[in-house]
Amino acid sequence: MIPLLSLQRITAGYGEISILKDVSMELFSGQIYALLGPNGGGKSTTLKVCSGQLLPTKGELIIAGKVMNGSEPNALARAGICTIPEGKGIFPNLTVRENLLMMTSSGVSIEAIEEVTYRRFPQLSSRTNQLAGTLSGGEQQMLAMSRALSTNPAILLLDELSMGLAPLIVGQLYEIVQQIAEEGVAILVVEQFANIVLEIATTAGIMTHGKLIKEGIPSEIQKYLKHAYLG
Amino acid sequence: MNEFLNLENVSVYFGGHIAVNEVSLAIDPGTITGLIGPNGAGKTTLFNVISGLLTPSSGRVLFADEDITSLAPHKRARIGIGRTFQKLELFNSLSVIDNIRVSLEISNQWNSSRTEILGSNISSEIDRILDLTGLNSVRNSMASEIPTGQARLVELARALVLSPSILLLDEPASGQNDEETESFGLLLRELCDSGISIFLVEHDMSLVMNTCDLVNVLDFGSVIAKGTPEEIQEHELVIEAYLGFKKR
Amino acid sequence: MTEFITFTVVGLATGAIYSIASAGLVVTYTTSGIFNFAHGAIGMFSAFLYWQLRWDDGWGGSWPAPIALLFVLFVAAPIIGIILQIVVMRGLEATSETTKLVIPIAVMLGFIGIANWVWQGAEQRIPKPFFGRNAKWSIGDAYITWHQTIIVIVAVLLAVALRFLLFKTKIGITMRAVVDNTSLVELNGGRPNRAALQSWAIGSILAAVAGVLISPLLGGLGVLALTLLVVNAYAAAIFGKLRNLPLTFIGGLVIGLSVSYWNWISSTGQKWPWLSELRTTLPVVILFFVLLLLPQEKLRGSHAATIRERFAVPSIQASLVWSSIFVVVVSALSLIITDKWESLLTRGLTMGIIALSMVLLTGYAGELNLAPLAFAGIGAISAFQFDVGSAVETGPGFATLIVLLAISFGVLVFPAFGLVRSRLFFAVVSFAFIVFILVVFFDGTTGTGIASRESMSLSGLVVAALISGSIGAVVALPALRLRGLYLALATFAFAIFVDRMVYKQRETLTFDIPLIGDNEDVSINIFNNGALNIPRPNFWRINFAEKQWAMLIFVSIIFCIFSVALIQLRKSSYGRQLTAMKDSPAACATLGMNMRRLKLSVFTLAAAIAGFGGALHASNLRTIQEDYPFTIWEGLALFMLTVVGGIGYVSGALFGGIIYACAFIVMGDFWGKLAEDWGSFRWLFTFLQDFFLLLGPALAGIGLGRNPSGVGSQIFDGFRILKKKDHRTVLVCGSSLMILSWFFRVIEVYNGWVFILTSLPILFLMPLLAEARDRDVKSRNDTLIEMAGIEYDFSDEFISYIDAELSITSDFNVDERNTLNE
Repeated sequence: MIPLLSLQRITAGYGEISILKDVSMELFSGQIYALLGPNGGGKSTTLKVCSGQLLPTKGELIIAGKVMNGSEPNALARAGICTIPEGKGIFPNLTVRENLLMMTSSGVSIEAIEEVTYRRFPQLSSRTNQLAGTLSGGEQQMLAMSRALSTNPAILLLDELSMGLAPLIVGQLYEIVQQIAEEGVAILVVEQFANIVLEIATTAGIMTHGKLIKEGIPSEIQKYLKHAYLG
Repeated sequence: MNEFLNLENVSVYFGGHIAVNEVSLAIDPGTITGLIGPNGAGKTTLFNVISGLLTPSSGRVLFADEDITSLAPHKRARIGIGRTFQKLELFNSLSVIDNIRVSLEISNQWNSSRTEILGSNISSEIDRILDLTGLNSVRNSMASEIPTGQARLVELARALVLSPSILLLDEPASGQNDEETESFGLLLRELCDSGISIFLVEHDMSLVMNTCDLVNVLDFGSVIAKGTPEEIQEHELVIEAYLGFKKR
Repeated sequence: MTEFITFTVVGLATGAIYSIASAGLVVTYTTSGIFNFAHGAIGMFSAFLYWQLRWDDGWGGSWPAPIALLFVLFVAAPIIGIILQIVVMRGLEATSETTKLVIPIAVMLGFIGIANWVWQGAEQRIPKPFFGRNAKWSIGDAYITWHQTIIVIVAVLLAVALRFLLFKTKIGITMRAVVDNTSLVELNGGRPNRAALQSWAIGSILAAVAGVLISPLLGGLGVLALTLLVVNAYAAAIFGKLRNLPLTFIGGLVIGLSVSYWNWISSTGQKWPWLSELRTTLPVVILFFVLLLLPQEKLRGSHAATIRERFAVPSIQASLVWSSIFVVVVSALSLIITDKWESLLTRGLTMGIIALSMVLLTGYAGELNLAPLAFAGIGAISAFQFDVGSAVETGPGFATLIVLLAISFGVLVFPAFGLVRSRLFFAVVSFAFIVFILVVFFDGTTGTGIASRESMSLSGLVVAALISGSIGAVVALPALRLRGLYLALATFAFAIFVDRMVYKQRETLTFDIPLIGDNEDVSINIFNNGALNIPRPNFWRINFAEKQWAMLIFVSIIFCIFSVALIQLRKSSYGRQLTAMKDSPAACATLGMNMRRLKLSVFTLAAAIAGFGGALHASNLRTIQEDYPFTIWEGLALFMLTVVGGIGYVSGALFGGIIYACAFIVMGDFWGKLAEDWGSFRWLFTFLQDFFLLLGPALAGIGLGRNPSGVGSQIFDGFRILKKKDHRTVLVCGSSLMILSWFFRVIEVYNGWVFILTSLPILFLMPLLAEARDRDVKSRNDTLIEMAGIEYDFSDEFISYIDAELSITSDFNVDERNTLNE
């Protein structure tokens, strides 16, 4: 089986500063890979490389066996990579329905998207004409997640899903993530809050100072966590 | 009162988003106080409130028992609050030495009593600061061309020439390697001993745990814990804040 | 009541047009972050095109209105917008504020150039209103034309249509989404670039609608008048903070109505004659004040650090050496060039001095100013009025005024140099005293202006600088809190204000200085009859009035003095503080800097330099007119070319000035001469002549405006290699050859063409030769002789490096997504 997403010796950064140094990782269908580590360790940068928002200076981004360095993020998105960015996965000045309409660029009809979204998150259905920015944090994140649910991606990249959310809602969201994975989607989760992801992850890695210092099954990773975060 | 920087119930809202929620903090003179917390917890926002780049939605900022909540940023600098920035704010068109020189010149304009002292001694003062921060080797490089770790030191040096009574450092160690961070910790201690109080936001836990006298933990815009580094390391809420929630 | 209705309808109609135009501006600004200065010019161009199709005697001319409208609004305008977006504006998002400003300005000048080119001649072009001039209906006794009715209806329809587009269609929603979060649109699979294209097409259509609707209200079509008219809409856009469409529409109406009501109460300017031009100026006055009231961005940790604009500073020694070389070269040239070239070069240099004010203000301090020539014009007028002009009684009143000006100038500028209390007092007093002595002893204080004096005196120039500087301070004072685009727009408004209210002023204004003289100490007829005669200087018995070469050398020396002074200033504590303020205002604040004071001083200083240069420029030209040489358009062109030359460098000012005053004229002349000599290719050469004359500056701006460090410094860098010791032979040989060539020309062995053809190649060959030698030496050191001809193996790493550098990747398209999903 070839990995859906594979990073080969990626070095990347902004300007002359390299954030990622020689990072390699693989992500298979149905897998939930939890990328953990303290702030500034390079997790979000890894995600940006995967989604095409950042061109690596060295190394290869391989998707379904093809080298994809330099593809535009919108091309990758239409090709089936769904990225939910950190904390701002929605358009705050657009209504809920307009937000859903923006997801149709992936090729799925608005009816299908609305159907899936409102079935999964009934509370959004009563707020179709409300500005997304006025939703509660949890509802905003649900709206963002509905893209992952309704546009049938092959790869799902999640950045700090839990940021600013109450624990209960985070739990719900990650249950949904687990269900998406069961449908065969390859999922890369970047999280600072480790414990909750480790429960659903199939693989986990710890990243500090731009390097993947540890990779393995969640129970094994858990032991290293406190050290990595609090010194 | 010997607590000289006081935040009283400071809150900051961005639109509907609560960035800082009812934070009360006190910095004691002659200490290094740490401020840690996960991404987006509101640390830099709090710094902006203290240095005047941001006016809090509610609450007060007191400095030496005076209300400075609505004082202009440059006036806060003049009463002794210096700071550095997380996103570097160097004068990129100037060399390292000129970055320091210009700060000295700016401060000479408002600190006229010092003009007499410095006058011709400007270059020796610059040399002292360069030695102190260990920037002598790059003194003539352009500020935009030195590595981030050293650029952070330039920001520190720039703030130091004001002879501030309190120094706000926003992630000064990011971009530094372990060795640099270690000597940076020693430098902070040295500065503190010379009478400058330090308020430190930092992600590098080794620096925080090794140098701070007291650590505040910010999460979701609120202070969830205060204590010595040892206490913080074992504090349950803190571990939870960093590692995530126990699933119910 | 009838009057009220009439003026209200007129106001509503023009206001509606402003609303339409500004809506277009808002649409493009929000989706692309670029303030389209060319917006007005697009409207102007469309109006001309419509006229061409409907009424011209030649091509087009008889198209029916609906077809002509369809063509202009829905074919030509969108194409213009799309081409602009693709060719010019794309990729400007991540550039510096100056670049974002300069490129659209260049485009605007380009449109003006094209329009002047295509629609040449003094022919009156009069567009008719819809359904003719007599189609009207009435409310009571007030007549309302159908054209006015149509304007209002169109505005309402467009407002509804825009609302529908932005809120009910995928295109519009995507455009709004781009405003919210561009990268998220991409992550959604949307194409922000396409949304930008669409918004530019729409913006351009709206500009065209406004242009076509407004042109019949003007009488005859005029390129500049039409462009400026749509510029009035900028104020409306600012009403809506460049974002909010409903507010923008309201803003347009407010402006239209204010102008109309002003015309009513002032009986179109007859009640207060000296304010008569306010009817055309009111919108920019509103623009200025709306800008001031706008809440400003807070200082925050900037993200501008991604843009690296760095300007190296030459040493004082180097600047002195270069200055001497420059003066020597100019003197040498003056021996072999004709009067015409001499006068062009002189103009270039005086413009260069004005451009130096921008180097200080924009290059060093990072403050944008689109009104350099307004200050220059004020300087020239001041020199005329106070020194040589007939209007001012030079007496105790004059001396007092000058001393007061000198004191205010000193108080504004000196503290920024670190002078405080007693030292400041001392410095200001001595400065005022020096100025006083200068005025009294060099010019005397009796007699009146031009009758008694036939030459520009030093004190005239000083007065020009002082007055212009003071006005700079007055303008800057309210604008101190503005930055970036808003500051640029405020200064732009000021430039238009000066264009209208000062240059077109025909009234005599009288002021009284308390306690001194009679009740009319200063009575000024600002711009007598649309032209002022300003004499050349005269000292050391050199007759500058007749000897252009003397003027040229004199001006080049002045330019060098100013340049060296500026470089010295940049290296001083003051210059460092300016640079610091430019690099990071936030850091400056946290270091305790009071930026307002610094800004005020640098504005004053820059305006003073511009005023000095302006007076000198005017004196070289001998006359200035209301429409030459200090208009807003020339000012924009000079600003643009100085940016092209490198606004952070003194050399940029030189480049900007020279290019502005000579290069395109010289190129045009060159083709013009060829057209004369080669009759059969006349059409081609005439075409090229017009091309360079009319479009040269704009194309230079579009092509080179993105280069942050400027062309001037790059040329200098190219020659820097000659400084090396190894290349001394090249330098010496080259220079000697050029001197020889110059000598042959002086003794008239050959003509100017041969001189150019011999010396220019030598000049440009020198650095190339030096580089070639360097490479030769280097390769000899690099390769061992045994290795010659042996190839390297490419390692995998090297190949992948090359792949990454060249962005070689495999293609990946939508079809393959399905395979991926399976």
